[in-house]
Amino acid sequence: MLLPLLRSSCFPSSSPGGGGGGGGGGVDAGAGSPPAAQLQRGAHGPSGPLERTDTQPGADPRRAAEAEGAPGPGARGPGAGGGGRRAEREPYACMDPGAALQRRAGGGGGLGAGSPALSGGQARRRKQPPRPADFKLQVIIIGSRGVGKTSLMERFTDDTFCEACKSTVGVDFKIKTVELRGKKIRLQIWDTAGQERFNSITSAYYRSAKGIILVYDITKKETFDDLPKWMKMIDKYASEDAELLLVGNKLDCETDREITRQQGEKFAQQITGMRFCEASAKDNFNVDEIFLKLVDDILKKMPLDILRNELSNSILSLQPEPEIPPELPPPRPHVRCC
Amino acid sequence: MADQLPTEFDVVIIGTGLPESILAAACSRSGQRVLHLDSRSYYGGNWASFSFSGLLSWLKEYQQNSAIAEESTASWQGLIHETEEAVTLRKKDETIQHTEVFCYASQDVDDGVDEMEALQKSPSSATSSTTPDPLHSACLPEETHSLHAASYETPAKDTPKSGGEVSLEVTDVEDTLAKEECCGDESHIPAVSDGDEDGKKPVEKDRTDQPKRKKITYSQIVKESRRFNIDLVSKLLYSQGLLIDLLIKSNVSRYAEFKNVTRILAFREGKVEQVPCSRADVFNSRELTMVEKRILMKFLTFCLDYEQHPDQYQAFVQCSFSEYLQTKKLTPNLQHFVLHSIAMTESSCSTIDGLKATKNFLRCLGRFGNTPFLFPLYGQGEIPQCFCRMCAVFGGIYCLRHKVQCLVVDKDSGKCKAIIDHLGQRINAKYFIVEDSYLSEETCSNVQYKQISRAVLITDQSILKADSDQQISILVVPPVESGTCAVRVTELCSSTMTCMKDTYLVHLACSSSKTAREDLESVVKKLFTPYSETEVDQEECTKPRLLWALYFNMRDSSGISRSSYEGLPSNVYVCSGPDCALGSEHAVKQAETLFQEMFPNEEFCPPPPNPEDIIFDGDDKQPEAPGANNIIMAKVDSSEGSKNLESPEKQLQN
Repeated sequence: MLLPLLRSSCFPSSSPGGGGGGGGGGVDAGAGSPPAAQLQRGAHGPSGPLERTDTQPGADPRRAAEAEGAPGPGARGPGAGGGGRRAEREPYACMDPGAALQRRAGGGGGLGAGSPALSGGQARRRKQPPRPADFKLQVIIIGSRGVGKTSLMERFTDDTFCEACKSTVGVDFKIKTVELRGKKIRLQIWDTAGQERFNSITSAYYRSAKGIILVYDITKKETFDDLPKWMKMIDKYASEDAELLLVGNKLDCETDREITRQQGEKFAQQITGMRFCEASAKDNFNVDEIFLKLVDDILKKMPLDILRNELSNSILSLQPEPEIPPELPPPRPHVRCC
Repeated sequence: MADQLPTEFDVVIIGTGLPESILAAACSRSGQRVLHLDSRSYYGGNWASFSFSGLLSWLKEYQQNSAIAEESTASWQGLIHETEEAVTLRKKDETIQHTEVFCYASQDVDDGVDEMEALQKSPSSATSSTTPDPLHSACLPEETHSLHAASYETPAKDTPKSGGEVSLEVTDVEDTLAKEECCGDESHIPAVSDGDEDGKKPVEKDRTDQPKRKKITYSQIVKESRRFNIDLVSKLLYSQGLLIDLLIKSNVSRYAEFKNVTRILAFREGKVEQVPCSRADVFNSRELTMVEKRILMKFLTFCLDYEQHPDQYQAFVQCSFSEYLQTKKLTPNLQHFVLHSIAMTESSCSTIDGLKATKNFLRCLGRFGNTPFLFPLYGQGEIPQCFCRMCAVFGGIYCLRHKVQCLVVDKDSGKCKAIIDHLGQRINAKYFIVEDSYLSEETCSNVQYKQISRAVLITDQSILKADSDQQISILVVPPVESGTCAVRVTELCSSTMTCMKDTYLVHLACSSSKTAREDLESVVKKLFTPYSETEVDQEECTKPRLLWALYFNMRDSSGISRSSYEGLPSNVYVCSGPDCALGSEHAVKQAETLFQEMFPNEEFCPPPPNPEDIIFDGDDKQPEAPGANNIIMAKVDSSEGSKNLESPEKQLQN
């Protein structure tokens, strides 16, 4: 009965600006809220409003991430909203659009769990094709094996969580379009493809990243102890302007916590410009905030002229950006998961 | 908490150079379980690119005598059964020789840059931390080892710091390297075997007033080390070449970005000039007369489909291309352009080969820009990494810093069953791919290797000034004497992300006749002048100045037939290192050929299927790939700043 893993291919003909995952409406800033981030998830299915909460005080992404100790609206209530469904989901279950939409309608009824930043009561139906993204931003996620990098990404882009999926095989990058500060940003989120397992991430992986999310597992000390090693790689290969965000994941496992919040904060403080927060991909807590905050930080620091200039710096991509995120098929059965 | 390596694979690949990486992606993509290893701490092997300090570390390895204690390796004897025998692999790489470094930039230490401070202000520096923190590693990574001052080919001399130098408290490895590297220049003339001091003036300490022109010091280069991405190979991508086509077909191109090579240059009568090759270029050229323009256009148009006009060349099939060109009413400068800058063949090459090469060049015009070539942002070293990523995405496992001691061969079948790594772990597989440099001396005892002579230069100006200083240019300097080879020069501006602002990275390459310096130095001197304090004030300095130069010879293991290797089991395949050609056709062809030998029924690097076309059949998780509807043709979004996309024909016709 439970809801299948949602993949973008459920939705026919994503809009050009569309990213992964299901539809999501958004209300513009004119609704009186502060410049709250809005998520656009591409063309919606035909039916059903896709409920999101109105922006509420304290739901500002900035504040939400910083105050995640305090349960804001849409905090990690169990089962709240669309994000709550978990473990029972099968990894590669069917792609029935109907089922997916049903989940949306059903799940979104209450507070948009973990997504207080999503504002607007009713989905906005698009009458004309959405305008293409203004900018493309590349963000990478790094961290030791098993900390939940892929889960965080998939939670953000597809609003899914798969407990059984331990391996990152088949995941290249995912795309999601967000609208921030009046601009439509096509966010390209890269996954490590498992190359961190034996410390063999390519230097090329770090190159064009404007934002870097460094993840550790709050229940595993070794993943925190590994952080200096990751910082070394960042120093070596990443752009100096890349925004850094430290995330302590698996907040849902509070009972098994080995790294205190203070430890995480302290680490981040030592690094100029690095933000810190704790999150749970499983419970969909703080996930949207993480990404939106990161994008916001990137935009703040980088005047939009620069982004435009980069586009015209005669740098060629040999292929147009795929409209649909390049989700690769699961590997053939005999390729074992880890 | 080192993770345990699985011990069963379908394919084990040793070496992460370009052909191996393409193969890895192809195998993984077709569902094979791939283990991809490299003994180094970096990807690419001899196709890699380095930051400036990374390059210095790399050099050290070849300059030190192998007095480094051999790492103790776990014994493999106990892991071999009676029915098996071991084929050991090489312990130390020997593909690089005759390395020579010349530093002309000022190594002044009191030039206003507080190096200690600068090096500590890394992007991740603490704002207020006073305690040393393991995080702050803006400086060299683990590949830095103890400081031997050997920058030169001859055995390391003591490099005492000269008197005038301010002694800083050197706690920083990178910093120390900087001083050590250039100290030699002051007190010793760079080592040349016959003591020739041609043009290499020792750099004097700067006690004079600040020069008017901007000065680039060695310590600045070291400080900006991460801005440099210095390739060991010197290559470009042909816009209609096998590599570009493969990158696009397989979607691996999405992992990289590219820039157009903006200029084709020629060196004639002591001067560098631009070669017009597209229609627009020819007609806009101010160097060519009207008559020349017409003749050139006519000739190039003919070349584009020369096979259709055999009457035009049939009679000259036995001649050399240069002789043929003399009969075509081309003026001497046009002949030079065609022979050296367009066809880029040796003078002795046949008419047909020359026409083929000319056509190959011309048909690449206009696909992405005005020249036939692209260059990857951050350097050629990115390309193997892109293929490795594709392999990883499809399940390939990656281990750098992983040495393999030997192959385990079954005596009866003669097939290789496993490898044994440096930890004594036995890993089984069905197919093995080994890059040539890993094979032992015994295995390669019959092999005749060629060599490639290479030079890497850091300069302060372009060899041909233009309105924009952001040019990427290729220049072929014809051989001066018969028997020597033409020298290919590639000049990269800082927006290629291969060198720091206000510098250029220049690569030279040719087939080796002698040591790299002997083969290339004369060209370097023709084009550049060594950076020296005394010249800084001269405004009429026309040649760009050379800040730093590295020469080295690299083994060319391309084109070696399998039978030349001794005792290779039938399921062990050899990939070669870089070849001397401008493009990477050899690497791609080799990868494809080997793949088809191993897996004849599999498609080579097909594009990943469109997610919408994947059909999941209930619980059966087997995806069905769609038909061939996913070939994405190269299109360049106009917002990406692409240039002229006219077809080559349109370029040349009216």
